[in-house]
Amino acid sequence: MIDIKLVNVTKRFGAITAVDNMNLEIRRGELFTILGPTGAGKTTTLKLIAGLLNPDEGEIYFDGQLVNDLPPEERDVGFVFQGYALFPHMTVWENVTYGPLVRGMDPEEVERIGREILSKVHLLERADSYPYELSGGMQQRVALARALASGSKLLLLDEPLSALDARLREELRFELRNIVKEVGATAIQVTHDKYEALQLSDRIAILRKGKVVQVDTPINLFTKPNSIFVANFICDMNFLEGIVKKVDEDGAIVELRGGPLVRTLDRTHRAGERVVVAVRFEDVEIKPGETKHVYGIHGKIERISFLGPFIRIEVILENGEDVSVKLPATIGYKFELGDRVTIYFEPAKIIVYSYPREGLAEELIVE
Amino acid sequence: MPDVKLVNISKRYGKGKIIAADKVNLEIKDGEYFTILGPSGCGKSTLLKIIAGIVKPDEGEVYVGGKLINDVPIEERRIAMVFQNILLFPHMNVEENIGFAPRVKGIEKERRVRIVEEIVAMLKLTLRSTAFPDELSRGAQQKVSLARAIASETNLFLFDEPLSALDSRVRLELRYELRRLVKELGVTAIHVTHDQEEAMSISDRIAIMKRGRIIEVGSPVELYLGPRTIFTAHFLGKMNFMEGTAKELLNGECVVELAGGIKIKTRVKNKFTRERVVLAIRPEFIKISQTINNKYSNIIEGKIVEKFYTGSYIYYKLKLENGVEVFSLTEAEKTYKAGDKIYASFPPEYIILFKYPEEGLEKELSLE
Repeated sequence: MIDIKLVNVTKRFGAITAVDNMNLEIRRGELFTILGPTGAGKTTTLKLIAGLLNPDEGEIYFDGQLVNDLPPEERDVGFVFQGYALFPHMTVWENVTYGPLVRGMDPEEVERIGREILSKVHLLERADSYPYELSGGMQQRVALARALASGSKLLLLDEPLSALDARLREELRFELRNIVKEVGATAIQVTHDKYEALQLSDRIAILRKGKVVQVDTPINLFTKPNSIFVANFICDMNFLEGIVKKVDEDGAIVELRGGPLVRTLDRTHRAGERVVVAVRFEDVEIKPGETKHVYGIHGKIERISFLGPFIRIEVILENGEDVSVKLPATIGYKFELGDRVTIYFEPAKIIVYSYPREGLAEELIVE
Repeated sequence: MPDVKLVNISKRYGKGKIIAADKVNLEIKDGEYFTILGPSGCGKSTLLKIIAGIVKPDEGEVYVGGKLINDVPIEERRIAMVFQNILLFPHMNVEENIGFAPRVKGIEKERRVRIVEEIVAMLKLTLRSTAFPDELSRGAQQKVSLARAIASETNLFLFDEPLSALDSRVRLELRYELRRLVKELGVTAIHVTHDQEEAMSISDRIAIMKRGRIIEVGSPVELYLGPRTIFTAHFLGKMNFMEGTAKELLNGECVVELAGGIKIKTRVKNKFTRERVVLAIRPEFIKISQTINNKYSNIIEGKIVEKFYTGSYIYYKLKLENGVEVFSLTEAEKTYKAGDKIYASFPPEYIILFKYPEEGLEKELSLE
């Protein structure tokens, strides 16, 4: 187990700054996730830590030691990259047990670890197969097993589950965390799947355009996203533009476009200020019929999607904006397409952001 | 608007060793959004390719709009395909890519421009029409390939994992777009995916496929709440399975004995007695509480093993007093920690029973 520190690290590719003056601290034994949209600099960050790329500026420390000049093979890192390079002439078993054997681990212990890890990635039956005999998803699992078995103190995992079917990915997600904790390594994972990040990680860094915009535990990121970008990325959230109409002892009342009022507990904005009201899909209250309530907004159901445990309902509000609502399926059944409904936002569930300088649409771009 | 019918379709690869399609029978209705869902290697893409005419079946017939099309070549099938790997013409800009099919068909320029404009408006494409594919994000590229497919003015769309290569947020957005377009155009769509949530949210009906066979066909709600097979129950959404024995009937309803002699009431009528069964219940239906709540029935004591945070909801892994582990999906507002003693209730109305599979439960649940 080691800790990692990035100090003012910058990496450019021609005119593109992939990593922009980044500072990051990853604690000993932590399962740390780097999350962000495509092109945010996630993989570059991982490659800098692995030593596969050299930073243009800044320092990288392992356990307080500067490793900028240390070649990758001396950094003792186990990694899984997209396009998993397995040893083609070795069987699954040989691939997975290669690391521990080279390290001189006791053969009985190697046997035990190999069996345990291969059974956890559901590949024990294929131990004698060669990589070319396996599907892409299986090869990725072998690469993951090899990294986990390697005995390295630091594991770097670049989208380790991306080649897998959605169903299997979900299953392995739970296993991955267990194995990483069992082998006691520090692990840094890169993903663009927020559910993967939320379920697996001790802490998460959100990257945008080569910069870290927030680092926190899953719960804190989810409950207190520090910007519209993070909120949009980590939560399923509705964003509605408005202007603070007045502020009283309970908080701000925001007038949305077209006049509907929203009661909030926010005390950080003043009357007349342009703001964005953010509410999670699952926090929106929806009632059948157009009932009268000062803060109730009328609308019509435009779309219903069945997601299994949940139902997602999209409502076009009277002011023309749309709001998504996520309900447990057992409650959501009673609503139908075209139904008139009343939407209500619970004040305690609302986050109010200042209107972004470059416009709301720009903040919501994820590609 | 064509309906599509597959009759006894079989296809083998690799000297007959790999069975990609095994006597498949399917009927897809006119104007339907139909999805074929299954794990990788189950043969779903092969089926799509057989409908498209890219692959020839070894046996069986393919009908489109009532007409046998086995011997109709690809280019005459009037089918549009969108793939996971986006295949745009790199040397053509957005407008030229979209207008390709109308141009090949010899449609005069004025009408061509109008067709492209209409599709751009329909897709709400806010792109520059002079941009080249490599200047666009992957999501935008896939939208253009969709636009190009629409411009071919066919009425049967085949989608082969069209969203798999996209960022998850973009994937969600495009999901809704796909269904909206298909419904607006009034065409028939057959969509192949391994993503169960995608299948459930987008489809009129879903066919679940495993090892070259259609396991079950139904609407998303039917398959999710009333799966007729263990595999469907397992593949579509999350499901807890517990082995047990159907003991007696209580008012005609089955009572199941689990490991450790725990008895569970169900609402399953007269189906099983004195035989091994598999009891299934979805995580969201298992209620957990710190004290015994008399409102609930089928209460089993247990403790929290682990929790997995998923935003507003938490997956708790529970270990019941009989040693069986199950997952419960619960609102994040009530939180428990590992080691907490809890009472889990299994509402009888949400319990599904299956006959114990001949080859064992594990084999039945395997995805490959």
